[in-house]
Amino acid sequence: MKTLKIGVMLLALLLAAMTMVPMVSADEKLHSSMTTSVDSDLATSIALLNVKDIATLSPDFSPWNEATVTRSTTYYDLQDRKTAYAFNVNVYGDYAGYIIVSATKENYPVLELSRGKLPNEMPEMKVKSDGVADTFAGEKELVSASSKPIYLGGTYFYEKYELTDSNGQKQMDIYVDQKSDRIADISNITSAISLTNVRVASTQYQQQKDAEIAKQWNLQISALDQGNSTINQAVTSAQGTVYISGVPNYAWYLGCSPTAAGMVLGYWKNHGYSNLPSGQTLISELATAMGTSSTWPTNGGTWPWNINSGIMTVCSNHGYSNFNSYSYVEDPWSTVTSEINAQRPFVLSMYHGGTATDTTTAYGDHSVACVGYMEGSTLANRWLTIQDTWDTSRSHLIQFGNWVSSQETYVRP
Amino acid sequence: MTLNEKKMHLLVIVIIILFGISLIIATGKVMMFVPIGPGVPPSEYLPQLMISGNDAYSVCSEYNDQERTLYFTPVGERRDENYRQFPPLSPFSSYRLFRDGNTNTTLIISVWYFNSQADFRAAQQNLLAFLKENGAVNSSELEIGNKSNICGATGNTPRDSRFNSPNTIRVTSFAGSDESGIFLTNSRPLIPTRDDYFIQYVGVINSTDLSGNTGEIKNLVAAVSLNQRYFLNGEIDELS
Repeated sequence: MKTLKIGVMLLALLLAAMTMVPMVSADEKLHSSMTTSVDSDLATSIALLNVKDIATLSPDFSPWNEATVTRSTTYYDLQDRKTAYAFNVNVYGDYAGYIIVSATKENYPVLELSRGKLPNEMPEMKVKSDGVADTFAGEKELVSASSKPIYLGGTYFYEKYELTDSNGQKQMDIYVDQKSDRIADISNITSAISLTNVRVASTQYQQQKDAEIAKQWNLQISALDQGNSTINQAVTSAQGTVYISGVPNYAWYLGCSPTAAGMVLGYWKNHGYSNLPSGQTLISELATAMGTSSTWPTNGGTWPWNINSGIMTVCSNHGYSNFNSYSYVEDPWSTVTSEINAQRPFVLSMYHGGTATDTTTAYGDHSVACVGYMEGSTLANRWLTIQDTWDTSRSHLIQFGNWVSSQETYVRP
Repeated sequence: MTLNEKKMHLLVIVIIILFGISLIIATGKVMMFVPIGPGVPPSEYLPQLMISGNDAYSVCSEYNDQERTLYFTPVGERRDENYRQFPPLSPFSSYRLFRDGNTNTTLIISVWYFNSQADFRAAQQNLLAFLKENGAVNSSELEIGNKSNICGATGNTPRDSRFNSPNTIRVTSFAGSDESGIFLTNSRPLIPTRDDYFIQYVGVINSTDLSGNTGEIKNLVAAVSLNQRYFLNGEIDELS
């Protein structure tokens, strides 16, 4: 009995140690970013370089070949460390979009670029955000003294307000969510971020991701080292652009995960699996199989582990038991592109997904059908081509990694 | 085995399970325990959920999924703006013209979206005032006929048991100087807990004879609701 007790204690200690390891890793990772900071001059050069790069790669961005960039916003994290620089992209003096460059080499050099507008750059949204802070401050008999933009990746855009009393003494900080214009609970933000860090910091995926990030920084700096006069020469055509045609572009129905999976199976219906239904009939069957429900606890969402099993269930129900579907977390670029190269569209589920290159609304927690990719040869910039369930008229490009976390669900007959 | 030993064994099992979960998380093999979605489109895309892309709306016989009974072809592109026949009601609106394959009549579906109940109510009052000034307005019931089956949905495909749209709906009928049609409102059709509201108009272009065109309107409502199932989902009512 005594031995059993000792065994239990040892096991408990081991368990505690296991859970601590990734937390320590995450913490170390945060501090290490201090030593890999990117100054604003380097960020400006990288912004311009990448604006030219996308102009060469994508016909949609060809006007950006004549673009200039001007720094608009410096973003910080919750500890007041710089996380990113935002630049306005101007073509012949007119606003044409924005690009966000990382302020630390711990992340991809280019975090987001878009022809839309950043939340904090839209006057009406800033007015709303200021109003929320002023109202809150008034209720506490405080005043909002200053504010600072916060960017933590993906959809984590906040405005941090310092509230002071009538003597000008700081009393508290509040964070207004730029997406919802609501005051954010700081403990929720930190727990969401740390949850992601715990998972990512401990895995082989993080090592692969780190290697990809380092490679991109090296390529960017190497291109810049050739001198500004050679930027245009450094920008070359796409190394790889692959697009799978024939994937139906379905509008959102019942939930994003069944809709995205419906597009993938809709593709296979036209490639030898004609017994599968299509459209909203197919999506509703997938929603049932995935347990997508408009009620609590998912409230219209889908548990991520149900996506692949739901796909296989529907295939099996229609006589196709040969379909396999697998879900992976944060798969590296090489795996993702090999799936597309094999002409197999897949379901990409993003947590805190950012904005596509031609839209203004961030995806948040959202599943899409991935139908292609585009990769530059010189800077190794990477985009996925997605059908987002929102816009059925066309596909969109999203920067690879422009999310806090992701799950890739492959479908292989 | 004593009670204490049983408890201890249970504790060991619980710890082993927790240990396993920690190991799985630490090796990155599972996703966060957070549901994905629902991923409802932003407001500017929501009117489109009620109007088709480039596909025609078709309805087939209940007994033969290849026997097409109704067929409406889109005419031109969908316009994502307020339909000019009526006052601008919402920044989020779309309309599209359709041709009835049986009668060759040109019809229109116009949709206005609202993400707040206050805006939805105000728009209805604004619209009703305009309609009363510019034509005849009546409250009526529309019995939707010909709603039988999506073409190609039978055979190996089971019927979709989720789709149970009403057979009769209350609508506001309108006959103006240029055209006539029906209005209906649709509350919370996407997710019952979300504030999504729509005003929908189904009309006949260049015809003020509403009674003579009721058949086409009924058929288009039936065809749309069968193919775009949010069209008659949620709480359906007349303008008020």
